Amino acid sequence: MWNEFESPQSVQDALVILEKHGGNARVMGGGTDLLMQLKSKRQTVECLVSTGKIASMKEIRLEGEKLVIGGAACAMQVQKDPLVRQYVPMLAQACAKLGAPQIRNAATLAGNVVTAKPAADSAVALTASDAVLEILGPTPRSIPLIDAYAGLMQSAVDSTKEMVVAIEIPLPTGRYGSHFARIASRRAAALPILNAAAALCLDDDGNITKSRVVVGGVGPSPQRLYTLEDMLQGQRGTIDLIEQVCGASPDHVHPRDSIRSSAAARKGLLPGLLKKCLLSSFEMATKKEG
Amino acid sequence: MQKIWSGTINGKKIEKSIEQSMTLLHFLRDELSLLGTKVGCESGDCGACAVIIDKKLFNSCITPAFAVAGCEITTIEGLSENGQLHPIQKALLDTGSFQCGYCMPGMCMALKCAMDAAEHNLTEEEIREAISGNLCRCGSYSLVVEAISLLQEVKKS
Ligand code: FES
Ligand code: FES
Repeated sequence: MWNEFESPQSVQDALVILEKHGGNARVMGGGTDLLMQLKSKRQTVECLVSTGKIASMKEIRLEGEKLVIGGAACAMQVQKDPLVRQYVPMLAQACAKLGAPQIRNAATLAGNVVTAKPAADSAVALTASDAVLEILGPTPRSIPLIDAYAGLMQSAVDSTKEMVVAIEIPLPTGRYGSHFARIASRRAAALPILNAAAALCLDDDGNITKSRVVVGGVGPSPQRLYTLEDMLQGQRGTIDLIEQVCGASPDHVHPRDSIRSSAAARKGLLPGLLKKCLLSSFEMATKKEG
Repeated sequence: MQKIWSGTINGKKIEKSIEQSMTLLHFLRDELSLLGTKVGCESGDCGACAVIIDKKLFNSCITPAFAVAGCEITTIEGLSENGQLHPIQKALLDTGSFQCGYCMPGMCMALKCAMDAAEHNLTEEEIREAISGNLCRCGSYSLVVEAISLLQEVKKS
């Protein structure tokens, strides 16, 4: 439960409220996860501080070589945003797969990261985008998304005193393609058994200059499969190479059995899922002129 | 702790002192006696409690009432005009979509929201997407698709 509810209009005001409550207030994005935790009475906070009325945290804009997405932008907004669709298609795809329309209207990008679900769709795509969280609080800091998890369902962001005001994504260079896909028991409103995002950059000769392969559902947070990335990087991009990399993928993940799926099934499903992501990224990158 | 909530519900200005810890669902039902919005899972999974807030669909069970203070809210009670069923309600009724009917207020709101937002007729895929967050334990989904397809055809001709 919560006793008080505040909707400040600026980041500054929000931080003041958090400080006033000395650790007994909590930042709320869309509240789709947080409210369930609070309603089940497992937790009580003195005050909920909503980011919903902070206009500056809803903007999505280009800033130099970066795409800056406000922490309070909701999944529906990100899914439809022309800049996101142009520069980080996998993030738009991931947001479109999240929950159902009424969940996407509420759930924010920052919330999806801070709630620290192991296979949050947008967090998987953000990890593959080299996203960085811009955090304001007593000590302002920036942390790469991959370091945003402190453990299972635990965020490195302390929502009793700090907030993710924006998420910054470096703009991809060269011929770039990216793709997100997921496997779930049904299409809507179901957490994924597995999800994955891939990104590839090619030079003019068709060599892979950069690759990202990220999987959710095989660990406490989105996992970058570095070995697979290394197998791709520096090589000439071909369908054969991609198939080889996907075939090797089960050896590089350590999933557990859970209510949604067995570890063995997850390993078995992974090559097909990655193939979809990598082939789509490759196709997109080869179509694009540098 | 109580605070004054003000906003617009079904076209009417509302001002009322309520607990800050209240969800929109319980505000509507327990304080305003708008019982059309249903209580289902209360965890954001079933859509029985869905309402339209500033033209967008939300589950009211996971929306704090004060998060939407100042907004324009439409519930199932706000759908009919002059005592006439809304065309969506009528179409659902005509196709027999209402079995037990429990999910239908939420379904109606989801469908209205999607139809208002689209500039064209919804495809079957889009209708299914629109109600993808609404569970119907009686399994009326294909009847709902039929209802909306028929309604759109009638509107076109
Ligand atoms: S009662 Fe709100 S989604 Fe089920
Ligand atoms: S008609 Fe019974 S739940 Fe949908």
